[in-house]
Amino acid sequence: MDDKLKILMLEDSLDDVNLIERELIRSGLLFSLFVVSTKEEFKEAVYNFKPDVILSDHSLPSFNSIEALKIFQIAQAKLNLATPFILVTGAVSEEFAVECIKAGADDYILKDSLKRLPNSISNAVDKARIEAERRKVLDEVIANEAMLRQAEHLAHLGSWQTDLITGTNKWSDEIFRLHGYEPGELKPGIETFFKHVHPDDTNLLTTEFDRALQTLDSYECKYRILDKRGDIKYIHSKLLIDRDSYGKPNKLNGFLLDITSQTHHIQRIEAQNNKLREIAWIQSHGVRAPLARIMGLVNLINAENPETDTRQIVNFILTSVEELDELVRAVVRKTEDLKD
Amino acid sequence: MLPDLRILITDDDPVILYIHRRAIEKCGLPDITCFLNGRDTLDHITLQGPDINYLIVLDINMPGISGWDLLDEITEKNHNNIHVIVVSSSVNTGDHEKAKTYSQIIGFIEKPLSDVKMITLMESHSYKTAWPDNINGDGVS
Repeated sequence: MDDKLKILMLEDSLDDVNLIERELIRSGLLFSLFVVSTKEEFKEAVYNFKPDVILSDHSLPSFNSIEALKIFQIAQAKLNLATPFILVTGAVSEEFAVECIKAGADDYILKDSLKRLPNSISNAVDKARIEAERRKVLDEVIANEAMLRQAEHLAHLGSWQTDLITGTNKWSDEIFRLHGYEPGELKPGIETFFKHVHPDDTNLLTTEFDRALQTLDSYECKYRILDKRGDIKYIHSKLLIDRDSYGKPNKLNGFLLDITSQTHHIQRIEAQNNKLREIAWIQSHGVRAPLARIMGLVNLINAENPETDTRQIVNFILTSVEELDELVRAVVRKTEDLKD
Repeated sequence: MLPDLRILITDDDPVILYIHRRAIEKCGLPDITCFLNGRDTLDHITLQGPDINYLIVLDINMPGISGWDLLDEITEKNHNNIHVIVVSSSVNTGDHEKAKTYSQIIGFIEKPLSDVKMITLMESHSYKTAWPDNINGDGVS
């Protein structure tokens, strides 16, 4: 709420508390102080007071600073905080001080040189703020990456990179999965891509890829692969080519989209269209032929011609009508086929 | 001008052959020969030799030699005295366009051919100058 620095002090000597407080006031620091002297109080305060900085005496009646540091570190991990922990003690050995710093304390101040304390606090707080920001950015990056990975998985979209100068290759998890493998199961690289291209598409893709490398900045194509199990998959591939100032390619960024299910849908629709076209053909050509005969024959009967062999004509009409009937039945059958 | 006009009808459907023959007979054209395929038609023309005037009533969609194949062959052999009426069960625009590229084709008719259609076509076309004298509009109702 306010911009006062919240200081948690672990100290059992009231004299020392006063001494330290006076030193801090003198430095002009705006702060609110919360003093505890037992393990339970300390634990409670770490979680509920949410201090910006902790000042800890080393030896207390019920426990000591090393133990306090441990409690504090567990809380830090749980709350994902980076609160500075400063040891404020009477005379200790050099070795002990080093040990404390190693254990995770940010600084140690001797009680007979408290003048250093305000400076130490502000340094530690600055450091903690930077650390907190770094963690926040890192968390965001990690979250974004996780989201991207999830998105790639859902969309069946994989991305890859090849650095042509260093020869390093990077594949996203989905690139492995598109090829039927677990992430990391294959050695990423352009040769590995080509090893999985369907034999019927290999020649064309190789030629196209070489041409793209020589002349293009981006290239898009569709081809088939055989995955780990030998199943055919349809891939939509997009390639972006980075070039140096001489136009020589130095980096490739690629995206592969698994379009197998879309392709199968399209193939099903095309097959259906073929059936429909067949039906349309029967309607327009097949039906038309016997109909034309019937019209021609009826025309012959109608004409006033006594020599007309009516019986012959009627027989012809009959066969034509039967043929017409069979065609209409065929259309009905084909239309029923379509429902599958 | 062309007194010895001979009519050839080529169609793989015997009933259509019967209908077309009867329709053309009604126009008063006597010399009619029917064929069930393109090959027999071409053989007949070759056998009869040149200098005969033919009018072929030709089906387009036939197994083996199609109507188009037959037209290609007579074009190749330079039979100048052959004219063709193309007949088809269903006429599409593609066929119509293609028909325009053959100078022999004087008409494109959707089956069935009737005596009325035949006369109308002959009269509307300059080919009627080759129409024998005994044929005219009076004979047709």
